[in-house]
Amino acid sequence: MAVGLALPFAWALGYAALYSLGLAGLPSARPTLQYWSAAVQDGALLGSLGISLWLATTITLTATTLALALTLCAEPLLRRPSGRLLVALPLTMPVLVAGFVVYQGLNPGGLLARIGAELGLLENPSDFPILVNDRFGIGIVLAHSLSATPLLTLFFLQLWRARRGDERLLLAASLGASKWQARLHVALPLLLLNGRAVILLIFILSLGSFEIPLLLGREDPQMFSVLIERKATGYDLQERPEAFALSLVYFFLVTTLLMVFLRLRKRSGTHFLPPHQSETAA
Amino acid sequence: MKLLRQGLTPLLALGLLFSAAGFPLVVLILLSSGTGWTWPHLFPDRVDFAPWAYLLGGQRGLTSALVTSLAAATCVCLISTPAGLLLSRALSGSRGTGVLRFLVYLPFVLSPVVVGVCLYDLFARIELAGGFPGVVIAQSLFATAFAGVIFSEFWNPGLEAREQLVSSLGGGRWARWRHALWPEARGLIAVAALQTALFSWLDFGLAAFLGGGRVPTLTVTLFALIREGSVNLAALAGLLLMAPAIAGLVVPAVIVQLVSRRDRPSEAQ
Repeated sequence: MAVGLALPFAWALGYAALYSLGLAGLPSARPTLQYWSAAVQDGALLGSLGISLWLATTITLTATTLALALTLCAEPLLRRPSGRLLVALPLTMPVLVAGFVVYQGLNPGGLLARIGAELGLLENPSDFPILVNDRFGIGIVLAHSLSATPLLTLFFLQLWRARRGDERLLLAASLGASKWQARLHVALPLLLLNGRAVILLIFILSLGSFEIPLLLGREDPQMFSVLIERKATGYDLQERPEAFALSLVYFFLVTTLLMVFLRLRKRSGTHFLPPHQSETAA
Repeated sequence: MKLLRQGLTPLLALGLLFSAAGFPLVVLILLSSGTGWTWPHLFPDRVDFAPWAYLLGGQRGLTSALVTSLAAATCVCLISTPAGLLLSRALSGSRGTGVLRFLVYLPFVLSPVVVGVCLYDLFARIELAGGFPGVVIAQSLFATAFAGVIFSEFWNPGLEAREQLVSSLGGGRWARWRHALWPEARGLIAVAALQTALFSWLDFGLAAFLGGGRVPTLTVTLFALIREGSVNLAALAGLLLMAPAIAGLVVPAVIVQLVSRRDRPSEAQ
């Protein structure tokens, strides 16, 4: 049955390979590498690879740092049902809505700029710093962190309970460690080492992000999914094979990272539960 | 006071969480409460709840989008939950589990829109592109993998022993499912049903790309509203999209809180 489920994906992979080599689809005539070389020469491949890796890394680092800070600083508060509910609440926001909210909140004519104008801090929208559709993808990172941070926090809280974080801290304190020493030298490595598979999962999922960069990203360079969709649906049919070449690079990257994820997951023995399930398990 | 005694850091953490949970809701409720939003006003130009009136009056396609999304979520949930359960069972009982596990996890991590781009020609050839069935089938492929991942840790030797016990007492296949598996699985089935329905409810990439604009789900409608600059209606569509997940999270939490509060005095007696 797993093989049956994999068949459409295998078809997608094979078709993408054939199309990118000119062996299938509309422009098919003879085997050629011209679409691959076009993707490399016009900078689409490297630009997309660069921005996708940069944004996925930044999103993962931001979410991991915030989730670790929340878990280490406020674990006793967040372990209560009301605390867990507060952590899980941002997870109810779909990525498309997150993109819309961040745009309406942070664009130069958005809510924050209007509050600034109300307080007399700025006169025109142009006085507000550019935080969306910007060069560094600040809006994209922020919108993704809105959902990735709570997800990781819930996972770390679950891990803390499963690995008896409280008892380890008490033991460290009884050996003379201060409150922060115990957190930095005992709790932090515990969460990072056991949570690395899930941190990698956040990275993989961010790599394929579509809706948020579509709303908050720039025209050039674009993340993998956005560029692939643009090239596949554009008027220029000669760009379609490039979309498939880019898809293959994306598939290769994700499958390699997935193998690393499964290996890490097996080694650390942690099982990633979806948010609602985490709540049930808790 | 109790919070203050715990120091400043937990308070900052709570502040961050309140902002993350509250800011989006404030923006959406504010924008959906009226019409227009010209600079530099904090509130809509006219607070007339016109977007809500459009929804209740069945105008601007919001109601039909709601119905389409509900229908797709129901179909995907009904297909993917049992399929995911069977898939995880097949996975647990077979050799070469590493490869099969990889195959089940693959759709879970792949971008639906990239897969949609690669599957489009196939769907067009079998006349599934640009229609409701095509979108539901594509969403079900991903949701089944998702359900498979949820059920993957369910099967264990204890469960197998229980199944054997039912068999040794004369139970057939149906009795094994009913007496050995169902009591253990029903919690996870509910979780998987909710997750698969939510996957379909929130999907934009597959519905937009494989639907070709002819399957107006709520996400597709929301994106169209954002693109045409109808911020008030888009905010309402955003609230509608969030509603099932909020209800799924908050309602059980409130019920648990109420039940535990009701039980406390009786325990004391």
